[in-house]
Amino acid sequence: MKKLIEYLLVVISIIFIVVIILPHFLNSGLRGFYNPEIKELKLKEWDFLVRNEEVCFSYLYPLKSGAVIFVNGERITETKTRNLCIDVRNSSRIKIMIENRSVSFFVVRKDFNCKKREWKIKLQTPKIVHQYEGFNIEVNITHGECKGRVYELKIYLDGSLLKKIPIKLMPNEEKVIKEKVRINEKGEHTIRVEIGKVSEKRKIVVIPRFELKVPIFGLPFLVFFLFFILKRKNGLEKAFATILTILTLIPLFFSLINIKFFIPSLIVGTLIMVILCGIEKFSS
Amino acid sequence: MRDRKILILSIVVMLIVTNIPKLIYPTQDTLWNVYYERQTKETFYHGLIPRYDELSYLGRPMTYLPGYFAAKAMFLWLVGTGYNNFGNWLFETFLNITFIIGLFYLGKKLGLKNIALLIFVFSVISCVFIFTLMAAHLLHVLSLVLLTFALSFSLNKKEGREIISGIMLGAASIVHAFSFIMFPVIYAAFRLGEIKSRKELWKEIESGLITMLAALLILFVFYSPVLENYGKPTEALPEKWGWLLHWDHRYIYSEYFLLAPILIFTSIFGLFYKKLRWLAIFTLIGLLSLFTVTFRVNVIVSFIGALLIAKFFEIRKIKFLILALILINFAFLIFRLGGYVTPCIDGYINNECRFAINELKNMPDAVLEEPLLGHATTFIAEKPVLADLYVEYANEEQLIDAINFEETNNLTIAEKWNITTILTRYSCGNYTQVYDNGYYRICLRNY
Repeated sequence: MKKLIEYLLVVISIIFIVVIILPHFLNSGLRGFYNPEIKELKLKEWDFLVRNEEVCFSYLYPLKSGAVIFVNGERITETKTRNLCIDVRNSSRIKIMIENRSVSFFVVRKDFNCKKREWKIKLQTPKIVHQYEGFNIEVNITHGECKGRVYELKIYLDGSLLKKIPIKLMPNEEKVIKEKVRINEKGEHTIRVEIGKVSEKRKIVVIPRFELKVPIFGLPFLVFFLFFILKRKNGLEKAFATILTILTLIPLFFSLINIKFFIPSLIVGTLIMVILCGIEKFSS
Repeated sequence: MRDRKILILSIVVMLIVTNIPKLIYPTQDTLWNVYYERQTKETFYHGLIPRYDELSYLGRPMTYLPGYFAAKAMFLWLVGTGYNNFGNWLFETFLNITFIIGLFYLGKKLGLKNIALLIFVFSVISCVFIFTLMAAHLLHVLSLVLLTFALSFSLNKKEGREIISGIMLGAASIVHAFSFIMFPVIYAAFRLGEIKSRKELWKEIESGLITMLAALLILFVFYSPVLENYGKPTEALPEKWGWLLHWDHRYIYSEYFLLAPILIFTSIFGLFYKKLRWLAIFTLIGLLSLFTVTFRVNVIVSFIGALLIAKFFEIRKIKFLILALILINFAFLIFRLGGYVTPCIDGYINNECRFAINELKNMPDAVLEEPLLGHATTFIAEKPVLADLYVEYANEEQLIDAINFEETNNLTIAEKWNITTILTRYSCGNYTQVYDNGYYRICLRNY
């Protein structure tokens, strides 16, 4: 009976651990059973300064529900279109409401001098960076429209959208935007920026950190661990205690003297463990 | 052989119970833990402890004790997983297993066997606080593991044990300084009942002092750059986030649940047994301190109380029932992890909050929000925040303003600090409102 319970316990725990481990190992992760649907209403682009034109704006909502548009608190229309223009006579507050969610902005309507010009964009990035090293990209924008509008500056990495930042542009304004980017994958990449009617791209090379997928660097620690637990009194406790103390203190020491700690800690940690094994062998 | 079976059983039960919450929350992304994880990520990718934090309090020197960041970064590099969910889970499993091993051997050093040993191990980890550490705040587990080993090695009779124990205590303290304070209290509680003469007492005090001196030296060496550059630690709003916080007597029940009546019973009746008297005194004082002085003695009470319960019942037939109650208590802790229903309160960063914070990635510059969300915003959105929960060496004015904003939704605070993006549960007033998920709104100033 005891053996049966033991076997059952082992089987249950293996099944359970595999159900948790595998999704993590495949990096898909368990989404979790408690996963309420979150509906987000987002304001994407909008005019904030116009002359006699309509006021145009766009929003995003997951469902094709009708949005109610308010101007200065007055309901003017209901629409399923997410990219629209409306007439306003004066400076106004525009509110878009869907299913108890709302976004809003203020638009100024006034006369001003302006001549349409050509949209321009120039992107500057470093040519080479390290993995996970944050770096600034610089985007020089010339706004070609005769209105004030908030645009989404979209930053793409290898075709995938990395982020989109709202950029406020006055009529005909030239603006320089700096944005921090971080790339984790090594190799050659393309950064592309897009705003309004223009886009530009640049290549960037990401230098890898020293990293191996196969955990061979853990081997000295594993050997030390096995040496201690095999037929030694309290070997398990000694092995874990030593490994944890080495893992905590040795890297700290090298960081204190401003040396990147992985390789030096591996060397020093291995030396310490060899010495400890020697002492243990000698004293027994 | 029997000992090995008890150890394996303890590890298996612990792994099952600590992994069940992962069916709902697969990571350790809580409102506090993400701060430690952000620093660990920086350390892992750069191979050095960060010296400056660009995101906390709009940018400030990095002053947090660095032990955990170094240990985890080194571990992840050794096992070759990189910084990802699997690596995080592997480190969590490694530490939790080590914790059980540490408690197991500590119990054996304290003279416990079989059922009493199981009672000790599971009583310690049945404290809600310790369980939440194992499931969601790994930094403290590393500190507790090293503390457990320090206590364990201190109980050895071998020459030089003080130095070995001191090194481990030093390592524990450079992860979390509170271990340095817990060690002498727990050790005194464990040993006072066993000391038979004054000579033995002085010898123990001498050993303890050597251990603590060795630990202090290590703590000082590794933390000296911070002390030298920024002085001794200060705390913003200590009355709100400080060490001397407590609630009322009901806290004992919420912290220990089924263990609470057992602790109270054994600490009162333990006074009548000579061998258990000191343990009972320490436990009683600890329990009273929980709701009169500070709740932060909960870990101390867990260790000392666990030994008291184990020793009180070890020769009694009722010990099987006590063990069963403790195991039920432990399993029930799964439901205490909180955050399942209330968005972004009680711990885990759940979806209502995560989606809003994720959207902050697409917003310009720094963020004004309630301090509770500060760590989550810096970790997920990688944006500077006005204030967060790391209050040591923090700018008090920024924290006060952030709390003011949280309580009154005073949006003009954004103007004071020249912040463009605001995350609020309420209205954006006259500012442009660009996001609404029914729980949180994002406002932009000057847009």
